[in-house]
Amino acid sequence: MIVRAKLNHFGHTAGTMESLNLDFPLLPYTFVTNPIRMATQELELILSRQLAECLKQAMFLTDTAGNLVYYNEGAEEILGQKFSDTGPMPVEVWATLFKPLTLEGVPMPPEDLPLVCTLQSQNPHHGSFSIRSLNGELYTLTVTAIPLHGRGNRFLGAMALFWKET
Amino acid sequence: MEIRIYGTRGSYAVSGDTASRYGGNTACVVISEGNDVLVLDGGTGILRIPPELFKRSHKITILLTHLHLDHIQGLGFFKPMYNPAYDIHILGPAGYNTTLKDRLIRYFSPPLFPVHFRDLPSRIQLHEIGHDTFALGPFRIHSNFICHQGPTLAFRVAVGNKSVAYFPDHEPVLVSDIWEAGKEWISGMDVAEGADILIHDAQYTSAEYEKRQGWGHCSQSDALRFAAMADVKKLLLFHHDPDHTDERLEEMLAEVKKEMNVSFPVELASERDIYSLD
Repeated sequence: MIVRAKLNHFGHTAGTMESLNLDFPLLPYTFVTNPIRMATQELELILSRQLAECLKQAMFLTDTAGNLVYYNEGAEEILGQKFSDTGPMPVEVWATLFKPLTLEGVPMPPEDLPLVCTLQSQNPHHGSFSIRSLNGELYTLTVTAIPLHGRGNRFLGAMALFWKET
Repeated sequence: MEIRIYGTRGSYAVSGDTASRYGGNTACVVISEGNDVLVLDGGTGILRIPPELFKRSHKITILLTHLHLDHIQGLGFFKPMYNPAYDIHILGPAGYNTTLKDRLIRYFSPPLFPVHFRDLPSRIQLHEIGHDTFALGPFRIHSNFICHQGPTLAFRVAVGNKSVAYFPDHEPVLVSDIWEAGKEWISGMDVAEGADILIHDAQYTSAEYEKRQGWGHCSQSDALRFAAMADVKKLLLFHHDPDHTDERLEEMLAEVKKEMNVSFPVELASERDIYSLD
């Protein structure tokens, strides 16, 4: 019998064991308490960040809880913050940083943002809203948010790509 | 724990005088602790493993990092596969939409190979692994997906407080700025960190790598940088490019050691190498 420890996306044992019930008489697997010295992001997030680093257009990358684990230089303009200054941010912080408005000028609740919708539904969402730039100018952003489903159909988070409408 | 290197070459096997020092067989490493044995990858190097290593138990455990041909080609000619007395357990990654078995069958079927997988007489069991932590006898194993072409695993094998990390094919960063992002954003860092021995891809010079970015391999200098960040105690450069002669490999090593002043020993993995960790 194989007993395998499943890991959560931070690389730690999640506290559950899966019995695969396979005949493996040579060297039976046994549960191992976490021997991992450190956690790394999932490979799919690592590769997404490397893509974001290469893109001029703004890109957000979140984990499953909505924590903004990375935003690129293009996105720094939208947030008015630098990633090197803020580091990762929880959804309650980043979703209110840029005070989105509907196209009719009504304040938009964070839960209506396409990226937040994607995190909740694990489906793609697309939409437009207005924000005010750092110099006070109102402009329209269009966003496509895509869920990240990794190997084994694990939901790992989401990415959002932004277009500034001119 | 003993580590024996049976195949060091990347991409395809080579022969002749210019590969006699570091070897021409493709990836295969054997880790043993007492009578317990793990085979890492089934490149042509697997054919060099002395049969007596398995004769006692007639049971073999093979961990595959991925299914590129240079990591499985030896399996088709590995004699225990044709011996009904053997129990063979193969652990490796599934595809995105295909099972490990389906992926192996692509090799074990005509016209690529004359023998169908189903006709192999040994008792073979396949086990799909991914981002996992498990134990096999005395070995504690941590596996995780790393940056390479297709689903590819790296392994950390530990016995007691000693460990070896195996990254035969790895491109740690695709964008150089990522080195500054911290360990959390470097592929495979959780597998490698603090290992007593890191066996790592180092196929190219920095100049060669510039023309091969995204191919899933790395330069010797990136291997050293990864090892330094992982704080390993020893680095074995692995997956030697088939176009690099023994002499060229030594020149490359001398150049990279001069370029990067690291605090741990760095060696070229050789098919004759045996390392003990006690």
